[in-house]
Amino acid sequence: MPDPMLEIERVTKVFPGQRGMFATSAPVTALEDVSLGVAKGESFGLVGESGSGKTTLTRCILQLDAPTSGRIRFEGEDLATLTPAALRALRARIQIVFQDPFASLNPRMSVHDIVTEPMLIHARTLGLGRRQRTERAAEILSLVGLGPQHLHRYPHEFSGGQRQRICIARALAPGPSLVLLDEPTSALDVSVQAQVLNLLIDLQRRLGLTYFFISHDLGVIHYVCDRVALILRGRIVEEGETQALFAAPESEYARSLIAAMPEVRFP
Amino acid sequence: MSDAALPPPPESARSLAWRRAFFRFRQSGLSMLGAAIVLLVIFVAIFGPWLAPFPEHVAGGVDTANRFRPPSWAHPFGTNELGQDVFSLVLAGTRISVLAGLGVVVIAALVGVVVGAIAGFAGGWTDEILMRLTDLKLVIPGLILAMAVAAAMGPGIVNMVIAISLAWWPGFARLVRGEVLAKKEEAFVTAARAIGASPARILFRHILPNIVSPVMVKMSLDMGFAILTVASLGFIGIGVRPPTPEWGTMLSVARAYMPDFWWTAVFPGAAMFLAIFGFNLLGDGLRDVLDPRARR
Amino acid sequence: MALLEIRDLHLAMRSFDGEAHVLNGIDLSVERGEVWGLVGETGCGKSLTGLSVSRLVPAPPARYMQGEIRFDGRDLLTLSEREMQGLRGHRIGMIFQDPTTNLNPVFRVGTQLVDVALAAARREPSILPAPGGRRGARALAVQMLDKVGIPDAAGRIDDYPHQFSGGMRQRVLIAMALIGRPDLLIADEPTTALDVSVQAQILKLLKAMVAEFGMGVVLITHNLGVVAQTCSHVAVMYAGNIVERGPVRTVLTAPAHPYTHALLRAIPTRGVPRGALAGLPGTVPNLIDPPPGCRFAPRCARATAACTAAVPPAAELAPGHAVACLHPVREGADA
Repeated sequence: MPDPMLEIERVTKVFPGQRGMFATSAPVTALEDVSLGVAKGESFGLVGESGSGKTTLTRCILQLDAPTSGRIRFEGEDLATLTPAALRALRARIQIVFQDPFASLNPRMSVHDIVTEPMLIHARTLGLGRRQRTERAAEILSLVGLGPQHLHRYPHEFSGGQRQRICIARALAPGPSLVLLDEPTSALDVSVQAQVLNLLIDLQRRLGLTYFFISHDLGVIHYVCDRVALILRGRIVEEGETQALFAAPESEYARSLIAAMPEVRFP
Repeated sequence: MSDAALPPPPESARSLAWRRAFFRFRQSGLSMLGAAIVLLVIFVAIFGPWLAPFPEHVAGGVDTANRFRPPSWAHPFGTNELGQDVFSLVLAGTRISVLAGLGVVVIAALVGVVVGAIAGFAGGWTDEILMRLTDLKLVIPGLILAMAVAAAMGPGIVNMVIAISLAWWPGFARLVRGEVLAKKEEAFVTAARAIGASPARILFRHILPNIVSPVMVKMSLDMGFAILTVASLGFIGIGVRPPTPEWGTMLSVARAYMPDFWWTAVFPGAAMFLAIFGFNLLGDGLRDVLDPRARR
Repeated sequence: MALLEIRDLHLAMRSFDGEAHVLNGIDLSVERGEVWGLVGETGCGKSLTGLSVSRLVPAPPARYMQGEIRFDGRDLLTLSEREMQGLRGHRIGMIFQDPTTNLNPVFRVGTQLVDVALAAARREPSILPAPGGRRGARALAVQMLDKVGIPDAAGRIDDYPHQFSGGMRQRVLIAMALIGRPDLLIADEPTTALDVSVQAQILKLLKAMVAEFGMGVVLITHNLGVVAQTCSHVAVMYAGNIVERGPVRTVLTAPAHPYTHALLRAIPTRGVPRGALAGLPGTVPNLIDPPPGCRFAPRCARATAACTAAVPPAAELAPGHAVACLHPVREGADA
């Protein structure tokens, strides 16, 4: 792939065993030799169940954890070689939306503060003054389907779907180029999920974003993603174009997942 | 779509949350009783010396002709061995106990929050050292420690408050450390780190505001014990010196005159009981209302 | 006589803002051998309906305003707590969502199963095999663990819950719910917390158990796919009302209620091209001050003035297929 935006090269992550009173537990290999490439502007899906390593992978991309071996490159730069200052600046360009809209918002912060915080932290790179930040927050809220009247409310006043929109707004605030989405609609009702998925697709088109979309729901992946990889117990099991993979899955895991998905379909 | 004038913050958002909490609080009769008692105690603490019918006795004056008068209309709580009106003394003593108790709780909370927050947030060696320090303090019985410090520092209410606070802060430190450790794992803290927030910002903007509730609950629950400790020190003769009226010293003196002149002990004791009981009920009620597990 | 018959059930819940009218006239009839899917989105009242059958809804702040829940002829709402305890576990079994918190971590799995078996045996001693008493209960527990697919049941019966995986724990919970040979099983989101592959296995197990024991089941879920795979009948709920009910194939392939229709169109299946998914505009109504008449009317494209006049009664479109709508969707027409 020429000039990928995100390049994950043979990443392995091993968590050392926990020291207990009587024995040390075995080390856990969360990721093993994972290699992926995400092109600019595409929607890349990662399908995995609990314990597959997908969360560990997002933490490594965000540099919240360091890989035991292997490299992660973003826009050509090896993330491990960044200075602390450069790493901080990087955080404006890679953002994340989490699964649980209830837990990922600070209950004591107003929506205004939540959405302007990333702009405040990266004030030097973005060069926005206080007034500009508030204006931009209002703009972004409109972009995600909320309004300026919501600026001074608190998270608990909103429904799950609205809270997830606030999370999306927060992610968009510093103007990122890559957005990680960790099961962004799994905690939402079906009708709300449809709205949020459509919003995400629309935003990608409008803002030229690149998505790294994690989900266990094959239907959602099929709807949103151009390419998809399946991860099982820390290893990438299969990878390819979404349509092709679903039409003709090669791996046993892909086949069993597709078969296990409960669908509204009668013989 | 940038508006020139953005809408002002509706104050209803915050005050609505308070009204909601108050509604839940009102559900419990015991909590309301606690709140009522505490309000009464605070009222007396502020206005006590002026309400006392015999302010000269509060200042130290004696009336030996009227020693040991049983409770009557003139002296609702009777008089003590110096002829002083026990009712006036109890009212005036409320101020000392409440102020001292408040002082202890506030100082202990401040110190405990600082130590606990640093330990919980920094982790590693800092955490280990600070927690072992806390453990050391907990090994020494609070009262003994307070006695030793107060004896070393000399008499007086300020010294007594400092002495007790020194024995009190480890409890807060443990609580705060636990809360900080728990909050550190919450999704919104991870989100803050992902945005690029510095550790200081995460601690002060994200974690600490979310542990205010349990700290406040502990403060109100501890008030009762603080008042008891102040009285205990007074009982064994440390801290406040006569003629300043204090429930503990009053009880200590009255001990010798039981059971004949029961009113000299019973009324100060009852006042103490009432104050502690009230703060405990209030603390319980606050905990039920502010418990973060009861999510809206 | 139906195994379970809920008639015109109205439930109100008191909160700070007022009293929410959370169940607005629920009518449901479950026979032995039927698996009813009770499906809806957050706040529709499906869990409350299920919990009401077991009388597990705390009575203040809840208040049953009218209606009855007839189980084998008796109105459960009139029974005392003691009589309800006699029914729970023995004739009405329940499975909840989270297998981690629903098993007591300090007791062995065998102990917990034996407890339930013995309690049920007090009412009906014939449940226990040969020696009866504690030995019989333990033998039955091993049998049940084996039936739900725990490998090496006799060896694992003395394990603690944390030694089982999530899917295994849910199997244990199913064993616990069924060991008393209940006539009615209420399963509240039994697979939502599980991985997809495990979910499929658990649903298959449930179907097998229903076939073997012949119970009636109420399966509460928000996932229409689960309903399609596992249930024989489905009742769709919205804001405290059952808006449509009937055989699962009929309702899900030719939905008559606009809400059911919209719900089905919101599911991303493989056939839906990008951007074509239809979300449902608007939000769920406030149940403290619900809209007059049909509660779905404010979001419905087909609503007319008549819809706000009164809650539409359930009308039978076909035998067994009822819709509470004045303008149901006809097959082939667009919603």
